[in-house]
Amino acid sequence: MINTTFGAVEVNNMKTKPLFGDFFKEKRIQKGLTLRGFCKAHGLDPGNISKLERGMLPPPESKEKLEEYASYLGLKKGTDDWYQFFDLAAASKGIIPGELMDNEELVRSLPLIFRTFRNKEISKQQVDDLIEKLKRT
Amino acid sequence: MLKPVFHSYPDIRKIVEEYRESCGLEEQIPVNVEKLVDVILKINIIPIPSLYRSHEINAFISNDFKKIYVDEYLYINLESQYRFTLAHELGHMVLHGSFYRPQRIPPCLLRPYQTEVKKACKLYLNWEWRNRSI
Repeated sequence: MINTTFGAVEVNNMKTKPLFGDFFKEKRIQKGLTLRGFCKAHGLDPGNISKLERGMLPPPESKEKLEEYASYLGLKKGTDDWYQFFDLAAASKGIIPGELMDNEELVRSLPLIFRTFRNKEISKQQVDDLIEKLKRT
Repeated sequence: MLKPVFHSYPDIRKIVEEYRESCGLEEQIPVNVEKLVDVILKINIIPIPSLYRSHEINAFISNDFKKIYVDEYLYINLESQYRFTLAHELGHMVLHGSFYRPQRIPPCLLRPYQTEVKKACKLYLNWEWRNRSI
């Protein structure tokens, strides 16, 4: 289990990871909106949004749809919340956020990051190179 | 097994009024039960298509009090009845939560408690009616 600010997630669980849904619900509640009120205001299906919030449905595939949801939740483009929303959506689907994949240098350094996550040692030189690459990102 | 505790009418009134005052809702009539359940208590309200048609149940609360399942038609189309239904399910938590929690008994299995919750909802409606501006 991995514990985060927005709840727990089982990595190999059959269900979609609920982190995105927890964040979605948290932002809706911060706006003081009930699920029904939120869906009515934006023409959404409350059954589906309820499933999304509980991790029973994955976040939408399309970037446009995600942007639409983000705007309904009052997230401002470029803010930490905005990036967190998209990062959690990508993480829920088990993918790396699109704008990171556009950076070739960063993509080349991903195996080093994965290696670190698996607790395999990497050399000091490799770490320094990675830090330099990240600084330039 | 814990012995169930039953409340008198005055007890129910006291518990319900104390809870209403302490739950952090703004003073307004009608009481925004949906906001209390969804936004303040963060209980998931889950619409289920044809719940009533299939099982003759308008709604039920999970025994961990984290989810309330509601008939979808009621949820979308019958607002007053929906609010009353939410208040009823909340009544299970407020009046009998300490009994259900350790024993994991589904609220629907205890008929006397259903009667108590109905009494609480009646008191709640009377209170709301008395305080409604004419």
